Amino acid sequence: MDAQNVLKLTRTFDAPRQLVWASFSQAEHLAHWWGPKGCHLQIVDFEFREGGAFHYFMDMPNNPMWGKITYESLIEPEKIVYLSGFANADGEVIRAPFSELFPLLIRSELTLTEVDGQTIVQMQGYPLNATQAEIDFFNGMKSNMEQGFGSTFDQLAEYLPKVA
Amino acid sequence: MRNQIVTRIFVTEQLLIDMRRDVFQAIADPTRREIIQMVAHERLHLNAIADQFSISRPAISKHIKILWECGLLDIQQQGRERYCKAKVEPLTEVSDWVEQFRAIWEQKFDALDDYLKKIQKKK
Repeated sequence: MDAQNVLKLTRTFDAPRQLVWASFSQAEHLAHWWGPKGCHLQIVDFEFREGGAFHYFMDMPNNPMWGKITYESLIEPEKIVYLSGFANADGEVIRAPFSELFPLLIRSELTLTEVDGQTIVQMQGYPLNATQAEIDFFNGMKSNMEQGFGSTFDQLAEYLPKVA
Repeated sequence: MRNQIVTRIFVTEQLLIDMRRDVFQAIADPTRREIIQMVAHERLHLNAIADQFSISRPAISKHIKILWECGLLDIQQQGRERYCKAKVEPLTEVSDWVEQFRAIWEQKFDALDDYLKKIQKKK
């Protein structure tokens, strides 16, 4: 996996790890913070277990969207691995409504570490798949244009074949 | 005042989403992707582009119009002919999904932070 195409974020929360874990693992907590700002989150389905799904509805003005998460691996209270994507009302994963090239599925790994009563959350996310059309397009662009279109295409062209 | 700000944020987001959707719709079609690649390096006139495809000239014109409307083509009239050249800058901006994903997560972490503070205060 190309390091440039992995999103890594770290945040320290002033709360014990059990509470942070509960914020991710209990529907009544999640509903309060998971949705985008200014949006009322409705939980359609929530099963916090390996293989279970979290299907939710984001009631955005002009842009109602569904999201879906499938939990792959859960190690209480330190690690959560899941696949996420945008979804339809039936819970089928679909393309992001705002961008055709936003990956269909992203695998996210959250690691929770407690230090002196605070909790450090490390988040790592990377795309799972790319369509053949996307790979062909970016490869084509790369061979066609030696310069001028910035490094983004180069990065994309490098990672797309690896993640397909 | 607060409502005004909130409204403005939503309007800005909506504009961004509309713009992105346009660009991605433009390249969703294989013929249009091929056209962009053809004129990435050289300025070609419409007929020269159409000659490379088996589909009809009006169909190609329609694709070119969509690409132009989405800001991906620069079209210049020279004599009788109209010449096209790719403008790919709008694509580089939106193709960087990592930045979009980062923004989503920064916001989630902010919200979690606020929420944790709130529920711990209550205790």
